[in-house]
Amino acid sequence: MPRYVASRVIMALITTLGVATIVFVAMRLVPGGFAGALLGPNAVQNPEVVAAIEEKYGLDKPVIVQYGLWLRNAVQGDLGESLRTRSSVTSEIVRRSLVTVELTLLATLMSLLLGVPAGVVAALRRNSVADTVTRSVSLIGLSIPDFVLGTVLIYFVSTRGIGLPISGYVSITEDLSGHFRSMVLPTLTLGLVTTSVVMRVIRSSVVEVLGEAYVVTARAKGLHPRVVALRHVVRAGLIPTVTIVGINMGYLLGGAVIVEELFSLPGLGRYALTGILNRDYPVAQGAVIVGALMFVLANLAADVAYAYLDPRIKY
Amino acid sequence: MAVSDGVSARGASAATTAEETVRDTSPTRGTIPGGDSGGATLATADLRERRHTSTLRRFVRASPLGTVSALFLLAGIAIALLGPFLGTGDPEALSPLAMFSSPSADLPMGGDYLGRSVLARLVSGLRVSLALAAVSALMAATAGTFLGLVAGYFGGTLDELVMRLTDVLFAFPTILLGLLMAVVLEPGVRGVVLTIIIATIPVFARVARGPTLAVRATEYTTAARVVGASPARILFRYVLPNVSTPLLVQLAFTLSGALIAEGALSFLGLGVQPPRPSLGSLLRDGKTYMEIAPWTMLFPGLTLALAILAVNLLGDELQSFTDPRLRRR
Repeated sequence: MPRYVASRVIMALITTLGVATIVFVAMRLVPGGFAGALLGPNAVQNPEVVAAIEEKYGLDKPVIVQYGLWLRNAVQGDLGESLRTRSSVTSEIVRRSLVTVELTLLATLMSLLLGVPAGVVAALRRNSVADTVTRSVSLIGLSIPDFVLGTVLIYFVSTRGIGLPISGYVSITEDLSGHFRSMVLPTLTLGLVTTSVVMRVIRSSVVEVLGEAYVVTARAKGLHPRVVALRHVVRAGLIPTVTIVGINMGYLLGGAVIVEELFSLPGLGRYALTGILNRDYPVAQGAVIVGALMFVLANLAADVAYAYLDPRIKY
Repeated sequence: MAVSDGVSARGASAATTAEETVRDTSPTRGTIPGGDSGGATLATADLRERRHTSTLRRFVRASPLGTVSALFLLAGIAIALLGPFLGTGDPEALSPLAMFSSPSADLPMGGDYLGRSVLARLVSGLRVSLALAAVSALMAATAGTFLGLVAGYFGGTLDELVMRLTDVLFAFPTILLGLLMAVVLEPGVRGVVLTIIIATIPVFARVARGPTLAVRATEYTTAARVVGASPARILFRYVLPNVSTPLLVQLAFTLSGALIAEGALSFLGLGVQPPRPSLGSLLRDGKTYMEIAPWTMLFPGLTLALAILAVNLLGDELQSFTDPRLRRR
């Protein structure tokens, strides 16, 4: 077990390094060059500022040295400063990540609360009405992209006079109920697809477990069907939930860009998007790296949790 | 699992892949019923033709839902291709009088903020979106399959290298990849195509690699090698036909992922740029005016959702049709 965890951690580190490398290469390809990207068109006219940035990143040295310096700065938490506001990208990211993390957690919560029971019921009563409904709902849910759903939700809420905020963010310290009301539509928009994924995966996983020999044995020895279902089937059938939550994180972090933009939430995704549209390269670079990192970490956590839950995994 | 990360296409797709990798240990997975080993010598063009028809017929009989989705998609493709000849009008023609006009006999889907026909723009946007999604999905599928075949067949360092690379690429959710592309390139079509390709290649590399490992170990592959067949011949003649089924299913999910990716990036303003229409950029335009002219946003949104639903349904049905273990369920 410790060996397995160690190997997963090493893999995650390698992946992270790969992510950083890709972003590093991408930033070198930015029109106007790396110094221009970090300084902006105005500051790049000033030779002293340019000298300072060349010193910091060793821009006259071989690329591999530049890579090392860039990486060192990033690892130390120095992601540069915004070209627009001159504020530290790192501190902005820390602040905004909280909004994004909360949004993804709420969407995950929604997908588990709705998706797991629906998937289990559908699997235990295969081909019943409940099963058909669950499968149709999840297929339709998978097919409505978040940006379409969000736009339509905003339209209905604003034209039907439903009392939910369609835009803006209320801080949790400021107004607790107002905060959660402002998160309702974003959570619904972001959570629909993951809820559908959870329904499908849980259903097929429980169906698979139903065919296992030990379930047949439990039934054959005369256990009450409910006991078999709860103790033998559902417990084992729920294990993939962990993996699916990890995989869904990738979708959720990407979807957060759209949902935050749509509902004007000050999260990481919107930060990245504004950074790109304003050609604020340090902002864009930092937000993309941190977003990818969050995904790597979520998957690492899911892998480790899976290994704890499924005793068959031994490395 | 291409369903939504493709954008999210990937969420769904990703789940599928995960499930598949879990199950992929079975060596029989993905083999075509009847196998290819003996058939190769016997199959004249005529026989192959007949076998092909009967598979299509069996699919139609086994899956009415899949057939309907396929027909629906074909109709969509036909509308997109024939767009200019359908008499829906010029997507760029401005008519100030029709500004925000509600749907009528003249303008079946109403007019947008410049008085352009929403229907004409929808037809034209459908063509752009479908073409972008299909072309990038196909290119990525070809490249990814090739990588997976080669990595799985030769193994060793090459295999290790390719798999680590796919790990890294999987660490970028599609939208995030799209953001990165928009940083390096100008926001636009090139970025969308590259995003879809880079997000899809690792998926196909993995899907192709698994069954390749199994097929590599079969006796007929060994026999071919002993007889002196070149690796290229073995890969394309023996391995590829045997791994093509899961790849076909994956292609369907990838297509829906690509549609979502294009839509999402154009919706964010990083993809197809106005005045060029695509389903995503139409929705972006429509969102701004949704309170005055909801039809400018509802029709593109509905079209996109229906197209994705049809592709997902077709993928699902193909999967249960080709995987005998799913058929029982």
